[in-house]
Amino acid sequence: MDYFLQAFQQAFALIFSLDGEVYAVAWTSVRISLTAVFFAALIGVPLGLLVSFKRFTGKAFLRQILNTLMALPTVVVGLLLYGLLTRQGPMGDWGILYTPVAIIIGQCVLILPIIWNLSISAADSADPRLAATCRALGASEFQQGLVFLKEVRFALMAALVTGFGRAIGEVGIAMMLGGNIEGFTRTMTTAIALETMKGEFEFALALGMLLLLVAFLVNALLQYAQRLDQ
Amino acid sequence: MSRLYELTDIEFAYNGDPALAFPSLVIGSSGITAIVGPNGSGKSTLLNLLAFMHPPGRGHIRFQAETAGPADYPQLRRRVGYVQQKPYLFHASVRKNIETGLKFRGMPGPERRRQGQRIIDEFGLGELAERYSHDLSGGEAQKVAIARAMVLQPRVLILDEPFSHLDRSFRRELESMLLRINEHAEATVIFTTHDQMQAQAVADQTVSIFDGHPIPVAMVNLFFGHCRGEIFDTGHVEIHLPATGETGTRLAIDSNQLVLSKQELESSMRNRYRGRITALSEEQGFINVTIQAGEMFQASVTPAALRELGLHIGDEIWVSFKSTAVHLF
Repeated sequence: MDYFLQAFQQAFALIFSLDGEVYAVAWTSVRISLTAVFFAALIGVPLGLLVSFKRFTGKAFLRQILNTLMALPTVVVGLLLYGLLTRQGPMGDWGILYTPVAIIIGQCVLILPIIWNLSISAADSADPRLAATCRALGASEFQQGLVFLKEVRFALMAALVTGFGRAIGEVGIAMMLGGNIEGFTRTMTTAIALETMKGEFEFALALGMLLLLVAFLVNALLQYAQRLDQ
Repeated sequence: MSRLYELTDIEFAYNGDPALAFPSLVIGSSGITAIVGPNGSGKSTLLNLLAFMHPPGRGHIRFQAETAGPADYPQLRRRVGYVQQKPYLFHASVRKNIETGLKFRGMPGPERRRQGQRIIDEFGLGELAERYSHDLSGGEAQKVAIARAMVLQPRVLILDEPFSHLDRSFRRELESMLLRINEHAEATVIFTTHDQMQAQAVADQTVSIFDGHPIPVAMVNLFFGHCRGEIFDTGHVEIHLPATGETGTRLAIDSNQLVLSKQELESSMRNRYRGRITALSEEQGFINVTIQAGEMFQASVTPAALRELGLHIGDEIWVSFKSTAVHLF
C-alpha cells in the first residue's frame, strides 16, 4: 500500500514540478490526436451531413457498418496500416512508418467511423422545421448550410470530442505505427506501457493522471462553450 | 378591391397524391384573410404556395399583379413574412433570432441592431430580448417569430395556425397584434385556423377549404352521405336539396341559416328536425347552440335571441332551414 501511495505522491510531484519529459510526452500525444481529429472531421463531418440529407438504398446497412467500425480494435488498424506502410508494403516508399504522421493516419482511420456516424446522428437531430424557416427568412442555400451547422454545433462538437477521446486514449496504433521513439513518437499511452514495464511506476502514473486531465479539460471546455452560448 | 394574390387553376400533389385543387382564389391587397378548414384539409399546403415555399404542380399565381414563375420565388419569398405552425426559433437569443433575416439580406451590423431594436420596442419584447429562445413559452415564441418576420417589413404576413396551442389570454393579444400589424404596418395578413369563430373575429375575408377544395360555406355543419334524387341521406337524417340536380358526398349548412323554434314552424322551409340542446357556448359575442337531432347541428344566435327563446341545455327544440341553405360538394 505504501508503494502505491508513494507512487501517487511522486506522480503529483512530477506533474506539479512541470517535469519536462512528462509534458513533452503529453504534448506529443495532444498534438497528434488533435491533428487526427482535424483530418477525420474534415472528411467525417461532410460525409455525415451528406448521408443524413440524402436518401439512398443501403443507408441502414451503412449505419450498421459504421456502428460496427466504432468498436474497431486499435491493434487491427495498427496491423493493417503497418502492412501498408512497412518497407515491403505498397506505401513503404513514403517512409513514414515510425513517424507521427503514421500515428495520425492510424488514429484518423480509427476515429473516422466515430465522427462520421455521430455526425449523421447530429444532422438527423436537427429540427425538420429548420430548413423551411431559413427559406422563409430569405436565406440562400449557402446561408442555409451555415445556419444548419450552427444549429447542430453542439452535437457535432460532441462527435469531435468523442473522436478525440478515443484517439488520445488508444495505445495499439501509437505503438505499432509510432514505435514509441522518445521525443518523437512517444505518446502518453505508449510511455505508460513502457515505463510500467521498466518499473517506473510513478512516471507512468503521472502520465496516466495527465491523460485523464486532458480528457477532463476537453469535456469541460465543451460544456463551458455550451453554457457561454446560452 | 385591388388584388394581392390571384390564383388560377392551382393544383398540388404530394408524391402523386392530390392535396389541393383551387380553380380560383383572389386575396385582396389589404385586410386580413382567414383560411378555415379542418386538420388535413390542405390549409398548410395552400399557405406554402402563398408563401412561395414551393411552386404549384399546375396553374398560375399572380402576386402584386405579376405572374410568379419558379425562378422568381427566392425574390418573392423576401416580400412575404411566413410564420409556421409552432415556429422554429434558432438556438440563440431573442435579439439574434430577430436579426437573422436581416443578416441573410446582408444588412450591416449597426443597421441590423437598429432595425432589430425598433421591432423589439414595437412588439414590447424588451424584457425577453437577451433571453435564450428555448426558454420561452409557446406564446412568447409565437410573438418572437412574428416579430422576426415583421422586422423584414414584408408586404404580406402569413401565419399557419397561429391561435392553436395558445392560452386564451394570449389569443386575445395575438388578435390585437394581427389587427395592429394590418393597420399600422400596412401588411396584408393571411392566417389559417380550424376555428370558424376565430376566423370571423379577426378576418375581413374567409376562405373555407375542405379536402383540398374551396367550399362556399363555413365548415360548422358538415355532413357526409349520398344523394338520392332531391334527398341527401346522411344515414341518420334526410336533407332536402334544391332542385338543381347537383350531386355530392358532402353537405354543409351555414350556421347562420339555421332557424331555431320551440314549436314546429309552419313555413316553406322543407328541412325541419326535432332535437335536444346538448351544449351552449359563447364565442365572440354570439351563442353557439349545439342540437342533437339525428345529426349534430350547430346554430349561431345572438344573446338576445337566446333569452327570447329561453333556451337551456336539455330543452327540446326544432331546427329548420331552407333547401337553398344547403351546399353540396
